[in-house]
Amino acid sequence: MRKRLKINNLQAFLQELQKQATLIAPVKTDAGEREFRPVEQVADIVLEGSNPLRSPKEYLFPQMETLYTFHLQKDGKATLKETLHNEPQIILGIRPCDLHAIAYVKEFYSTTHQDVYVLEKWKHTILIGWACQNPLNTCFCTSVGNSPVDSKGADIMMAKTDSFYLVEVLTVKGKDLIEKIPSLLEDSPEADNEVLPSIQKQTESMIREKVDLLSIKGRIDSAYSSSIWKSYSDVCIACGACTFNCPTCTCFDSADLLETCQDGCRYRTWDTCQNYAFTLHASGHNPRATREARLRQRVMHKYQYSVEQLGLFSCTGCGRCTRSCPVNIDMVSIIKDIKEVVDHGEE
Amino acid sequence: MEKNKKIPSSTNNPYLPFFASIREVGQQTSTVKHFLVDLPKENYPEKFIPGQFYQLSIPGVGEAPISVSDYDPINHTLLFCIAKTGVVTSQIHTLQKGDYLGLRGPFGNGFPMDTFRGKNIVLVAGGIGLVPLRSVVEDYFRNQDQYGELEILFGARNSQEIIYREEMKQWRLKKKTTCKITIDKPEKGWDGNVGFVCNLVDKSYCDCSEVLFHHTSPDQTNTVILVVGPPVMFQSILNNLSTIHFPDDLVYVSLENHMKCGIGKCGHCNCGGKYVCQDGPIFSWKELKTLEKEY
Amino acid sequence: MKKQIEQNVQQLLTQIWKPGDLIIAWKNASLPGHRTPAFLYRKEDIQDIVFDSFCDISLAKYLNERNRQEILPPHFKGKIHIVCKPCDAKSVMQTFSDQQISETLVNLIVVACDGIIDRKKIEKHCDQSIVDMQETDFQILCTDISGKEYVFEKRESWLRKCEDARNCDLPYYYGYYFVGDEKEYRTRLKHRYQTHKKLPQDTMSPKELQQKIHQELSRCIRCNACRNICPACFCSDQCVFDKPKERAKLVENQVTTENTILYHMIRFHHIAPNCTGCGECERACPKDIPLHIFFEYFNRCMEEEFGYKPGKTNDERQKLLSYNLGEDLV
Repeated sequence: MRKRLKINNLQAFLQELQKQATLIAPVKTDAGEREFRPVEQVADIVLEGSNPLRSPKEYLFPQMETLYTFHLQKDGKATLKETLHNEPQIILGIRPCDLHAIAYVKEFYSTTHQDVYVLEKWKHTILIGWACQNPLNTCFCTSVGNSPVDSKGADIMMAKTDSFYLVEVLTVKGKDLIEKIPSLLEDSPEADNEVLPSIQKQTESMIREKVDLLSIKGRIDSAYSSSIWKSYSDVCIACGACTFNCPTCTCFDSADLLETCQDGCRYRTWDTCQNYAFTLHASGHNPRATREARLRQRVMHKYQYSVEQLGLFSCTGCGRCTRSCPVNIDMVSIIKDIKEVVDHGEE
Repeated sequence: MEKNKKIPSSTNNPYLPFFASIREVGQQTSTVKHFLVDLPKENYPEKFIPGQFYQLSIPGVGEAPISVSDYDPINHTLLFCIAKTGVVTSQIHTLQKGDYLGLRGPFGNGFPMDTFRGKNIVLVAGGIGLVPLRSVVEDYFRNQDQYGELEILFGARNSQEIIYREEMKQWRLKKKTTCKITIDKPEKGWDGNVGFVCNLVDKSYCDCSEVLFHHTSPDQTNTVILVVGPPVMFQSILNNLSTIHFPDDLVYVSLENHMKCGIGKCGHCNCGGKYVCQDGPIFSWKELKTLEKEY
Repeated sequence: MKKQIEQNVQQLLTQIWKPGDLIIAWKNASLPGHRTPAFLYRKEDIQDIVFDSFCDISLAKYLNERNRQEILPPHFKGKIHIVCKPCDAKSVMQTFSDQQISETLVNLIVVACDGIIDRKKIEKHCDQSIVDMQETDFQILCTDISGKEYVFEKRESWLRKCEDARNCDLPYYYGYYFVGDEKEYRTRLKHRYQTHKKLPQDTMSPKELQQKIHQELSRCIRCNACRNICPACFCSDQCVFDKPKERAKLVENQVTTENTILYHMIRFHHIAPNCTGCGECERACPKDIPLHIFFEYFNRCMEEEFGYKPGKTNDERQKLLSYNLGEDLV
């Protein structure tokens, strides 16, 4: 189902969305950044401009999350209380790279042992995509087979044209939402078929470079023992800025917290594979003791291991790692080197 | 999508532990204790495979993955043997009979016992590595008629650190079973083997493995070798085995990567395309060769 | 002027470089305005070295023990030539003082610098993504993807640390090469001192500091970039925040404002006797938290209490970790 929304009606449309559920969208914060935040005033929403540095992943997989609370009894047994959240939420303005990321995260947490915390939130979330017209110079979504208008994972996809917003409803969840919103939307004529392709063409022309990784998908492990890793890991300071801003990083650490002698909780927080202690065995042995091994792990996980596990690249080309790297390590030049090594071997 | 205020809950949350009471506690060595716990009825494992592990927790302290030494399918008890290494295990060591332990599991793939039927089993264990192998031993004695011979090769740092002393005495008395122990350095009053456990799979060593070398016609394809120990130890065992061209699909190794969640989600144990807690911890040597050397 | 310095650096290095030596300097990265650390082992690579107003990364970090272990090839016997801005040179001094590296291993090359551009500040003012960023003597010229051009005055685009003349001091150390006109540099510095205006961190009261900390640090995502980029942080794998298992749990991993503030407060105090005010923490922060202001505050306290500013010389004893017999106990 495809509809048109008049430019003038956008505010009313957003207000309607806000009535349905908690609305999360990019808003300008006091510190002057744009961030996905629960919206207080729809006027604060800024849909255009570059993609926020923090991805909306945190609304499905928060940086810190309580798994359960417990109350200790005298014999050491405890009564547990699960803390699942399933308040309905609508996330608006998600770029295709982040839509892919959310789809990956959901897929990852659905395999074998299902992670109810993420899945429960996902079930109660409506994802509204936004065709990307403002790529940054760090963006490389075309390299990993995505496109700036791809709607995979979205319930509703929106795109801006000069005279109207295109609203494409893709899932039942999306349809249910749209049906609750009275007549703000108009029918979309046949000619609107061209809207997304033309945005795609225009945006792709603005993306700095395309490294065709799809052609070497599944074969990237042959770069494992290459010398390229060392040239980047020398520079790398092994902080976690790239992983903490990455929309597909799923690793976490869990720990217990006692608030009183009897009550406490187990929580989980994001963890980063770049940290030395991440793989440290109880015995003191560390399989990834060097920064080289850790940097390689991160990159290989994105392009090889996740392909082995789920058949998907877990990099969506959003470029946040490059954006947040304090020592200017550029993911595009890493994948360029990888492709070179896989295709032509080490020089 | 209604805004409902009902507190949600899920019956199928893999992160929630259940509680089991401790039936028996025993001291194995100065730093190792064993704990026998009664499983509550609703938490009997559907199937337990030797080599699997449970996540043991104490609320407020934390969680640690611990291999199962034995699951008794009749009494529904689990036996754990725990070395004091960190915060959680130290706290577990303070528990007494009647206290409760939080448990999640069983996790991991375990040893493919079905494929061992009719074969001789050689167990090589370094130190606390004997713990998961004991579940194999118990399974072997329960169904001894289905397997060939059993040989246990065990290396401890010193004679004080030998675990399952009493049990090993019993095992030795059983038919078709041999048991060899070695300690790292010579000691007063020790007249057994001295040296690393990898010696026992070295042909040139005088008291080396019976099954592998001393049988009249050692048929390698009729023997499986299960190795559990620290990475340094199993690497040298594998080196020794490669010199005698032992088939790599008949050797199984247990990896001990750092684990947190036990269900392949937290990413700590990620090694190549595998999550050790979920796809392992048991890998055949053949699989191990395809894995990145990050264990 | 910087082009000239860049050439002089290359020239100097060609003269003093010997086979087996390592050069740590900057080179171009693929994106406009991005410079990245370069580790060069070959003479022909010297021509890749750049120095301009975009060389924001401090290279001193790479000298400390743990980093060297990772970077240097096995059996490295040569010297390390490191190119530094005056502010980074102080971090190198502190690295010497902290005995992270022996002075005999290092050839310090200090370049005359008149300020480094805050790239993020510029990017914020552009509507679209930037495809080109160039500098002239007084201006930064940018072009975005749509072809729109922007002109920024350099003096309005400095990093925060460059506004403070005190960070531009040269260390009291005889063993460095200076590239540029040292006399002119010192005169300019003197002039800047005379016209120095008070900065927020100079007048901040503890109360204001507390308020600012609460206000700013709530945005922290605990990515550890500030810690890992800090040249004074050399505990690396042994850091108290990384090993909760073996030590008392100083800070819970739980990312709450309280824990985050605690994390930073521990860092402020722990780093105060080593902090040279290089501002790397602030630059590295993906959330643009003005950490430099906080560290400067603690720096000022150090100076007022002990008359001591880290990084001045190469063998300063840490004032919070040393005691001389008869010394006044504060």
